[in-house]
Amino acid sequence: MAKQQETGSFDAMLYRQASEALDRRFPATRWLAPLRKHALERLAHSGFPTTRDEDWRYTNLKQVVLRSGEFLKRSTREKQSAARRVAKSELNRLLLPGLTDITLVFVDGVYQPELSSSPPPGSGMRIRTLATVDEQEREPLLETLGALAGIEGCQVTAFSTAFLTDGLVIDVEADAHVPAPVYAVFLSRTADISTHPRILMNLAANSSACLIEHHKSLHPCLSSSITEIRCADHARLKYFKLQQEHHSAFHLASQHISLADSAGMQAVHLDLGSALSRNGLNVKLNGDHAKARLHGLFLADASSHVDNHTRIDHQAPHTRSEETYRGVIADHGRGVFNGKIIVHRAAQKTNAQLTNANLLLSPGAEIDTKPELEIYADDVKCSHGSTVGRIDTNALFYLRTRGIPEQEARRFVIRAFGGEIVSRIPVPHLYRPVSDILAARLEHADSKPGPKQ
Amino acid sequence: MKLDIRNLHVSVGGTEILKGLSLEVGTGEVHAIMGPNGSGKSTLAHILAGRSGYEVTSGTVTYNGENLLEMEPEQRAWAGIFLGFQYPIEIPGVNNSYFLKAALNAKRKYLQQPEIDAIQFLKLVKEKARLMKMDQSFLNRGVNEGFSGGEKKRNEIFQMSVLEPTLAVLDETDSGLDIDALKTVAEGVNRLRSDDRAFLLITHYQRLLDYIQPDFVHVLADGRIVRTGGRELALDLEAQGYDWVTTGT
Repeated sequence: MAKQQETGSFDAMLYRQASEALDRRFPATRWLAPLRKHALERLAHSGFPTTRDEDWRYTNLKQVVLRSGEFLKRSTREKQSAARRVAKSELNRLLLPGLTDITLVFVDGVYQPELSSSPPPGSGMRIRTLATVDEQEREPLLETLGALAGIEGCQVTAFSTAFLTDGLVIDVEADAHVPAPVYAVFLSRTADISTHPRILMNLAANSSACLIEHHKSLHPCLSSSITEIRCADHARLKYFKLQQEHHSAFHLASQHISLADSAGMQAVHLDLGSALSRNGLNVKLNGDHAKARLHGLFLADASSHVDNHTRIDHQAPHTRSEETYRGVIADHGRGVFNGKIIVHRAAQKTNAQLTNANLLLSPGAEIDTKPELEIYADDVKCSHGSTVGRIDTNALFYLRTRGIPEQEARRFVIRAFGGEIVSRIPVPHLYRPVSDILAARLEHADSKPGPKQ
Repeated sequence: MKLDIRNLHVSVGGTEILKGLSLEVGTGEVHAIMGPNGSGKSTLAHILAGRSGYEVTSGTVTYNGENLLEMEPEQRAWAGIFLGFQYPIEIPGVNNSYFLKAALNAKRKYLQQPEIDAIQFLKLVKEKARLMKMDQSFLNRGVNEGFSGGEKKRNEIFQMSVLEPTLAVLDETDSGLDIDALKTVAEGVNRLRSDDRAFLLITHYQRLLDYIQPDFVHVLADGRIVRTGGRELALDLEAQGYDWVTTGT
């Protein structure tokens, strides 16, 4: 009991009521109830992680846990409200341009078929929601959901699963190459709700596809998402996640990706919003010659907290990973980066590189960065490093001598720092619009006056 | 254009570097400032461009009658001052031509002129790049990013030719250049010589002055100008070394 007090204990009553309400409110996914109940039990047993857990040392979930009960209550009570009826024109303002071929839109956690468009038959890709899968698919799905994420190991995964009501199941057939990105949008328009986005994706052998996750909220809320992707032999995955939650919102997300022989992935993560966010990216290089290239950019300003934990498991020989994360921290923002690379005994001839560079824009900004290498094989090439710096005053002076005002010169340098990551987004036509989003966001972050003590 | 430096004393971290430097530069003139290492040449260049970290303990610098020392670096640029860096800074990810367009437009805004349109700008920079024998691809690279020493210096003169300053201060622009690059850089400067523009060439060697003929040569030693003369002074220095002027002053 005492343990429950000091660990991340939650309002068990509210949680149970919310859980029971889901069974009534979402009859189409009532079949998920056993999975949800199991997850809730796990969570009840372990509680939320606290800063005493090594993995959560710098990220305190107290506020999230405190408000989660109320959020859950509200989201399960909400009727199919007017808030969910989004005009196409409003949506178009919020969405990334040019991604209309395959768009899957969730508003306040509920799938919106009339705002979505599926891949055409014959494209080699099939997308269903958990609410619409065939009955015979349900049982295998109950096994697959969470198999990569592992409910047992992570309490936040258990939380997300305990309130899972819908999600996407994406299958790419063997040898299919789907050029159009799958654009999954998770938009919250109602204040104080909790949503639990879920994606399960399978790329069969020698296929290729691109997945874009866009998380956006217009009010304070909680979003807790899980994405699991399996890449079979020689499959190619491109992945981009854009996190643009409301500045008072909470965002807890994780992606779990496994790669078989000669499979490859490129991922770009962009964290631009929320009061507190945590993203866990877990990549398992299970097959020979599998490779992963990961890029990330996170921004913390005001008093926001942004945490990126990445973990790459090299399980097989000749696997490669290349990871570059950058952080921009302004005001009293706080960034956390933990990049772990584990080279298992079997993974001879592994090549792994990890770098994390951070730019602090104000005296009150803070970053905790920790690249970690654990190597159990003896014939490997691995390197890791992290840097923390401020804006190069020589660069500023140079730009100013050419007539560029100081504030603009700062923007140039900051934007260039982030631009390097944006240029890695695996969908070329998104460079421009995402650069613009980033520029506006950075300008805002750097425009506030420094702390006055 | 008129630059008037009077009895300037400047310290860095408590050490006095300039010890009563006086110099007048009028429009259309080309002045060369020569001197041994550590004589204060680069400090003078930085002070004119507005670099922080220097303490002016006495003396004045006026530019067209205004107190230059009170102006921010960007204001000096708008007023027509250009500093060619001895070691141009690499700014990865900041696109060369985008940066130059922003610089040009900042100045135009200050002068209450309309922004230059994209096509006009492109035409301008392409022409100037061609004159500096710079590959077009330079324009789309990061500012000085991965440039060789010679490319960086050429980029400085290229920027100068686009921004068209009224006073160009070139800090050791000749250092680290092979003879071909030196010629290109010198041609770039000579092309810009005009009655309404002045140059301050800061150099250690007189080699540059074979290609750019100065109106005045000043010898800077121990923070002061110890001798002023015509072009022949540079030749004397070349022949006899700095000791000839610095000892006995």
